[in-house]
Amino acid sequence: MKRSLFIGILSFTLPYLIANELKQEAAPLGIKIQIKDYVIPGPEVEPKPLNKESAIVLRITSVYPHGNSFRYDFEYYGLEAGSFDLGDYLQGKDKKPMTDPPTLPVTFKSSLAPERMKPNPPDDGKLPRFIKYKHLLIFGAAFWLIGFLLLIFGARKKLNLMESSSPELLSPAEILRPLVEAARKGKLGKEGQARLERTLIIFWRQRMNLTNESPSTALSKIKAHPEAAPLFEKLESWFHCPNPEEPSDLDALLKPYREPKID
Amino acid sequence: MVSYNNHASYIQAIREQISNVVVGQNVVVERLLIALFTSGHILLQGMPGLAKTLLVNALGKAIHLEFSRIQFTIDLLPSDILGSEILDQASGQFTTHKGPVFTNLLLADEINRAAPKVQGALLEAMQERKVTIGDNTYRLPVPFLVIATQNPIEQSGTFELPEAQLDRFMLCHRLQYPTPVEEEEILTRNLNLGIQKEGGGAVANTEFDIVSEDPVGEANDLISVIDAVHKIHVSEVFIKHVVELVSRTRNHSHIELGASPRAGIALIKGARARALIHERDYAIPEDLFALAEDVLLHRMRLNYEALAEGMNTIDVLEDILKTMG
Repeated sequence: MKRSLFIGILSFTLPYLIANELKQEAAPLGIKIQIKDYVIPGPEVEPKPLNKESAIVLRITSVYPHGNSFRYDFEYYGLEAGSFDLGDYLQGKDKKPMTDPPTLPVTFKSSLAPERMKPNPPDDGKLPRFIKYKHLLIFGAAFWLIGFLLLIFGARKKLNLMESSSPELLSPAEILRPLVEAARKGKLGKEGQARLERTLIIFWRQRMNLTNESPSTALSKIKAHPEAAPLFEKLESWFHCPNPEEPSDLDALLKPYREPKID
Repeated sequence: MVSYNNHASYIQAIREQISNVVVGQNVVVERLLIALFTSGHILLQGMPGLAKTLLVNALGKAIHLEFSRIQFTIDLLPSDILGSEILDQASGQFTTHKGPVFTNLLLADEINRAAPKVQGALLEAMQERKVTIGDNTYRLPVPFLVIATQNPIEQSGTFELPEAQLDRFMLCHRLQYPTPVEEEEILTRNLNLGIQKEGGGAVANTEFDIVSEDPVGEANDLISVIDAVHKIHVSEVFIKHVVELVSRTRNHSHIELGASPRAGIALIKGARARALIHERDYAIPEDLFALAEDVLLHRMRLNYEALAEGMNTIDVLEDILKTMG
């Protein structure tokens, strides 16, 4: 009972209080202002649609039933400086003008002088007077370019250094010499024997120009070569036979490979 | 049935019987024999119509081995290969129905068309040579050789075998098209296949109809050859060649995944069988070079840099073999 009495009193006094308050202060243009729990007697209302002449943008954010009336939350902001009545921007839910519109006077003020149409130009930067912005851009681009070139040439130099520091690949002839010597002296272990056989295959592939052939085909052709065939036949029986025997003519067999030359 | 005292003549007789049906493909026949003699498995990669199935069929009949063929499809289940337990309603007991994997020679046609779980089931059977159905484990017959095929051009709707599973194939051979002379021979033979009349109708013969049903030699001949392969001498120098080759695949700048120790074992086994086929009692580097591609290529994976440069594994392997000094 007490609560309904309080709401009744408030519904009559609040519009006047707000209207007085709005009258006192002029709001800046474009800044949103809210009115909460404003009761308008009668049927439900809505904002009028905006048009080119609208000086205010008014929205109803919430509507609550309030006895036989409705209670509203408004949100509005001004587009033009001056005094206006929010009641002029309301209409019935049935799109018809209100018979008894509320009085809600509002005032907006402009931050700029009435004759000002353009904003202020931007302030100058904090650059020294002798440096212009264009010069600063050119300097930045040049700095970036130098850094980029240093990065590329620095990396290339490092790559060249790495390549030059890697050990040079020995030719088959150079690998063969110590292996042949070791074989002649009888100091060729199993590892050396394997290396000697593989190097001789590479040596003959290069000598017979079979580098583009598949390894299997190349080896078959090498073993058919009149000069290479006896060597590989004897090496195979020495290295791979179940009962290996060192060839009696090993020295003569390997003599051409002591100072080998590729044709 | 003739029993062969000499391994070479037995192998030659098998090759001749196969060549009555399949023209050329001598290298493939050699690789199949290597896989059979070493209890390995082989993956054949090749375009359709290169007589892969006919070849395996002819081999199976020439050696008097039981032969099964499974066409791998997307909806194949592991039980379709391995077998399953079936409830006998009369006795109320479960009976085991053994799948097509229980054979000597299994042709897994287009293995990459089946889902990974099916591929996995077969590859597990290949490795362990036994199959578990329900609570019982069954050993597969001996010899047990899987010859899988894979079509390299059709990739849609296929499940590529990962390197770990490819590793279980001792050899992966890439079939080539026949030479013009061989192709001419194929066409000429096809002209003379004739027809077969049956009942009231007739049908044109296919190459499968002329595959001889008479096996070469006896079961003991095959056992004798498998035994002989194990007696082929492998020198210490040859082992060093193998180790060098395998380690080079692991340290090459263009290879991300090199050959496994299983690859080295496969190279030695394959070299032994090839030595026997070529009538030697010891392995030589020629065997290594001949088998390197089939043993190593499917076990190698190139790194990103090599792929970006447009290289392939064959280029890299050839580079390794050329510079293996």
